[in-house]
Amino acid sequence: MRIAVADDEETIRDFMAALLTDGGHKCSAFRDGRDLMNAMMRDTFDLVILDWMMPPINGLDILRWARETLDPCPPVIMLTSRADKADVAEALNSGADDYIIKPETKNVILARVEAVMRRTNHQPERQSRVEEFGRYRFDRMSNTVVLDSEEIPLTAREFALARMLFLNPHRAFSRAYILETLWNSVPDLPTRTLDMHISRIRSKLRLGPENGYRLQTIFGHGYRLEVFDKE
Amino acid sequence: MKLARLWFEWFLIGLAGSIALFLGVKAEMFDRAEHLIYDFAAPMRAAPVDPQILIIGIDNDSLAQIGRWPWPRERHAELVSRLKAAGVRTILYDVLFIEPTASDATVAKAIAGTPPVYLPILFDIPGPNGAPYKILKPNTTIARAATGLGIVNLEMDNDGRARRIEIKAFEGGRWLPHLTELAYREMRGAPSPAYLRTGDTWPAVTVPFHKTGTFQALSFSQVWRGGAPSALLRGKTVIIGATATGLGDLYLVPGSRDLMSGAEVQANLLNSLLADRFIVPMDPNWVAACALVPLWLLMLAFWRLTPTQSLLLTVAVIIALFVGSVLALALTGLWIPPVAAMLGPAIVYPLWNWRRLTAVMQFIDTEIDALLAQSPAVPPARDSSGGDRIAEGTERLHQIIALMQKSAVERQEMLQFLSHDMRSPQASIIALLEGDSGRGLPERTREMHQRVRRYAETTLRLADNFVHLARLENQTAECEPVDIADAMAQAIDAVWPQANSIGIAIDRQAAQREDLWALGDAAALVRAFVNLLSNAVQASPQGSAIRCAVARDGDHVLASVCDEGPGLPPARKADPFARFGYTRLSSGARGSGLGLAYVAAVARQCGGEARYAEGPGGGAHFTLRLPLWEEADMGD
Repeated sequence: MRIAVADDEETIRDFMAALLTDGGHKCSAFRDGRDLMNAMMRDTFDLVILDWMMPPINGLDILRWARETLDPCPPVIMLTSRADKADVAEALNSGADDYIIKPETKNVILARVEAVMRRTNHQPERQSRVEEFGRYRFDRMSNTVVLDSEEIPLTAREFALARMLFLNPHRAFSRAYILETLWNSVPDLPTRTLDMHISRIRSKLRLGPENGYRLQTIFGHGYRLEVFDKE
Repeated sequence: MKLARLWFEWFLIGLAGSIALFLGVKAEMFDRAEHLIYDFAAPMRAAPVDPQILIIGIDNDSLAQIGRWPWPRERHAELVSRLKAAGVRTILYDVLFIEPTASDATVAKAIAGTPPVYLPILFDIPGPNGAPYKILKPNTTIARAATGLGIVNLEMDNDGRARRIEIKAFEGGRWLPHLTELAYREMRGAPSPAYLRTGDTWPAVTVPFHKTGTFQALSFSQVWRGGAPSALLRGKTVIIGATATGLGDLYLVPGSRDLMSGAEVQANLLNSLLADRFIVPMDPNWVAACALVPLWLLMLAFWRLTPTQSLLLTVAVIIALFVGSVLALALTGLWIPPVAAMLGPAIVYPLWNWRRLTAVMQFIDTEIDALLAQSPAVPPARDSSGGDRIAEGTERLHQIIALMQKSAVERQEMLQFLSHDMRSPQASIIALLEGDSGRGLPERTREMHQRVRRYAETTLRLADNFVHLARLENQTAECEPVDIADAMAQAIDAVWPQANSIGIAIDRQAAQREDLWALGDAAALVRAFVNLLSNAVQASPQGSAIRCAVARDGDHVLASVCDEGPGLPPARKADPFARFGYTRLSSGARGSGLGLAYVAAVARQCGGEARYAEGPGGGAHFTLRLPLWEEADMGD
């Protein structure tokens, strides 16, 4: 896969280039937003990783420009030191596919990159009745999840929500996306409904690093299920 | 403003108010208002009507039947004869028989003997040709036949109303009593107490008049024709006088819109004499002195009261003075004119508040000046030329507001700077070390890498904590319902790897209560729990467990994190959530106290509180106590 990385900091460019190359990707690094924009107009990338604070054009402006002008627009991941939840929400709601706060470990960055790429390269729908994710086994006929040997019954919506998250680990889901997909945008849906489902999945499935998963709230945006790496 | 100056101004205001009142009373400036109050209250003091008193009025009916005034004096003689025949007790005949006529002998014959007949003397003031007065009295023939002659003069106040009556007058070397005083003596056999009390300098009494028309009255013509039953007349003290509008013997008295005839005035006076009920006006000097009392009491109270309280008290005092004055007159007959006393507070209240306002304005001005002088970059004043003092002041306030806005923007910029520009290099350091696996390096260098990385992480955490705390304290909260157990679970997920790597268990069994919600900022709550858990991990001995719990306590949610460590050092126990409460942690790293200050700030933002306690076997127990939020129905 061809990935473009833009960051004014040499250390980060080198770090990212090494990391992506190790992950089997081809990486083009840019130190300046303008160079990146020129390249994006001429060339095709499978993914763009953007720093936010870059002279002379900041990453968020590039993101908005790309979403408006490029067709097709490659997926974009923001990689930045801006850690405020309002910043995260703003970038994601402006069309970024994911948001990584510096510093982050190699594993997490690579997992997020894979998640975004997987999503854009439509994978075939699995057909089997039982699907396995780590220690969890999903039975699509009975809406039941088996953790180790314990059977955990779920409601249809809980099961669908859990399966959606497990099928797309590391992917940032917006609340709007989840509601549209699983609830078909039911009008007058209480705002707490999704929160309560998330909360129930978390406690019923005992989602936590102990069991290899971590269900995160992306404040102001949505949710993400991370596969927890024991290492 | 200096206190001494305020005292001085206070004293000046009191003094100015006092002098104004004193002069006002002396110059009788409040007479009109005082008369209004007097006329309202005085009828309440009037004595009950004495049934012995009867008025026989020369009214319009009598004029129509008997003929135009003056009548032939035989008519009067005939009336007196009728009265005598009916057995009246005393006759006060308030009609002047001045010039001699042919029928005087008939009149004299009729009035002589018993029951006694008393006739009036009138002092006509001023008299003709520069004389101070002219005495109008019955001609000798008639006067000799009468039992006695009494004065009937009325004192008019400057508003034309009669409130006082001279009860005696000095004439020809002796005191002449009032006509009604003569009747009193006849009825009671001795001079009236009021007469005896009255001094010589100004021998007047203040009469509490009834309303016009209160006394029993008959028409002259009716009695003269014999139309009045003698039972009605027997034993009565009869006052005969003109009541017809055309005859001019009519007066304004307090408490009545209608004019009162001279005869009824005499009836009122006689009634008061018999009951000995009069009004005693207070000496004007005393009135002035009394008026100062509420004024100065109020001035003293102003020191302690807020402007609103002062206003209420001022109004209350004014009303109380009015009511008190009316009650004193109605119940005791003592007339203390309240207007001066009422006016005093009304004068000093606005003056004092004006001074207070000025003092406050000056204080604000001084503070603004000081603030503007301290600030290095004062925003330029907008053009206010042609404006007045108020416009100038407003402009300065605008400057202050601009200054505050600027500093708020600067604070935002600083937070922005801290949250990005300070984080960036730390992130790069960590990226450098993360990118280099360190394979092939000597053990010593690898260990150094690890330490550099830890320092960078500490710096990052400090900057984050500082920024989050500052944001929390400077921005209004966006509160939404938060599932507390869910927030706790996320925090545990975040801390778990670190705890797990050093062999510390996190027991989340008691933290899986569903559906306990509190209003708050979800991200801030998660961060607060992370802070508590990180502290707990650092304080926990290896192999121990951290217990997390979420529970309901009435209408509150309790979220707690308990460790098995040594608890907070003694120096921090007094105020565990103080900012910059530096401690040396067991790991050797230094804590800044920002983390716990943040926890307390988040709890406050949710309308709750953070508590610290120690378990029986040691160990720090932190609890957030947050108000429970409940929604009636949450469907699927």
